[in-house]
Amino acid sequence: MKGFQLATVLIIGALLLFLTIGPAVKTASLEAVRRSAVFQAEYIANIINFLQSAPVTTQYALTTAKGSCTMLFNQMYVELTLENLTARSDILQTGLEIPKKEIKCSAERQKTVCFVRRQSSIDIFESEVNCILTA
Amino acid sequence: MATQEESSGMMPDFMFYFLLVIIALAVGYFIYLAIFTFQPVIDLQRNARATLEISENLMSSPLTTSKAVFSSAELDKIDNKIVEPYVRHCAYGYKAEIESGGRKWIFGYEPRDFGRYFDSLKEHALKTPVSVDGKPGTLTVTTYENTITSASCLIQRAFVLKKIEKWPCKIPTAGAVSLPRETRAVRCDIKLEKQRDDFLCIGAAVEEAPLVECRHLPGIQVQKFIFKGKKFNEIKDMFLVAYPLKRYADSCENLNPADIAGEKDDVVTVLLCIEEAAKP
Repeated sequence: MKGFQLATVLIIGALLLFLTIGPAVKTASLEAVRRSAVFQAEYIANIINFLQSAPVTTQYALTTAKGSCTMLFNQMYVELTLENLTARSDILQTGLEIPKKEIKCSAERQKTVCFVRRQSSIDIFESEVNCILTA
Repeated sequence: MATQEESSGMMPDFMFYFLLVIIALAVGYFIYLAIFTFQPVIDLQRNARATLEISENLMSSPLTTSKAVFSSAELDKIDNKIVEPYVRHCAYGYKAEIESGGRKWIFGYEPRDFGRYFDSLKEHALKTPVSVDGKPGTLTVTTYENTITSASCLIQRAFVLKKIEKWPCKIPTAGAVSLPRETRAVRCDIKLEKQRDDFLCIGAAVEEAPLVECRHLPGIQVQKFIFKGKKFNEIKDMFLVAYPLKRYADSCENLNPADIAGEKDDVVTVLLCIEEAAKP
């Protein structure tokens, strides 16, 4: 009987604690993902913006995390969607063409996204090996 | 079945554990208050990074003969002009000052309003050592984000991407540090008009009000926009929407969906409209 009382009290306590803190943890997790989307979008736009001032054939390899994400590139901005949360970051307009491209992350494996400075554009593509061999 | 003695012996145990759980809950709640109700405020320093990126790109632009070596002949062509040549950031206007050998070249966007009528201004400056015709000098780039730069960015995105671009109307919050935002916002209670073909100019939302300042926006036609019909406190649920159009439209009310440009169409003009947020 003593054990039963103890178990009941502990279960009720854990339940109350979960109900109190659970929603806050969920909100904090979503906020973390949102911020991650914002920072990642800024980071990727940064790569493109610096490559625009780099010599032709300069490359950068970005390794994506495992999970669900979509990167959308166009002439004006990078749009990153993580867990249905979307963030955009501006690309500088320097006369170089940024082709429209969509790259999806994979839940099974990390992907390598290559950015290569060409004469009149920035090439963006996925690579199975590395950017140097496939560029 | 428990005897009376056993029952009375169990009660203090129960009370002890009950109190223990209450204390644990109180500690848990205190931790919750201490951690989760505090929201960290992060400034993304977008303008600082934009300033660095613009400087880097100017130093390898056609204004130079090699990396960070500017040509005085090229600088003379754009000196004292409100243009942002070779490098343009959608949301930030920039002013560049290059000093060398007692000479100074200035070009780019510089605000005249400084937040008096429109938006609080975000500003960042960066000074970098460069050279002009081989003589040592400095490049100072100052970036500005305000209502005119935001509005021109909205228009440029719609024009270049041939997509409807929609930004929330912003209630001005002078000096506030904002959380990272997925979408930008813009002041909507304004007048926007193209002047001398290449400049987008801004004024108060009254027909007779003078245009206060302009940003260079070459090659993009914009139909005159004057905010009207809504009171200031009703703006918060509204959007400023830029429509890329295949042909000129009389007004937002008479906009024919068939006139909105698609990916394969040539955009002739951009039309700005105020729209309400869609009701869920």
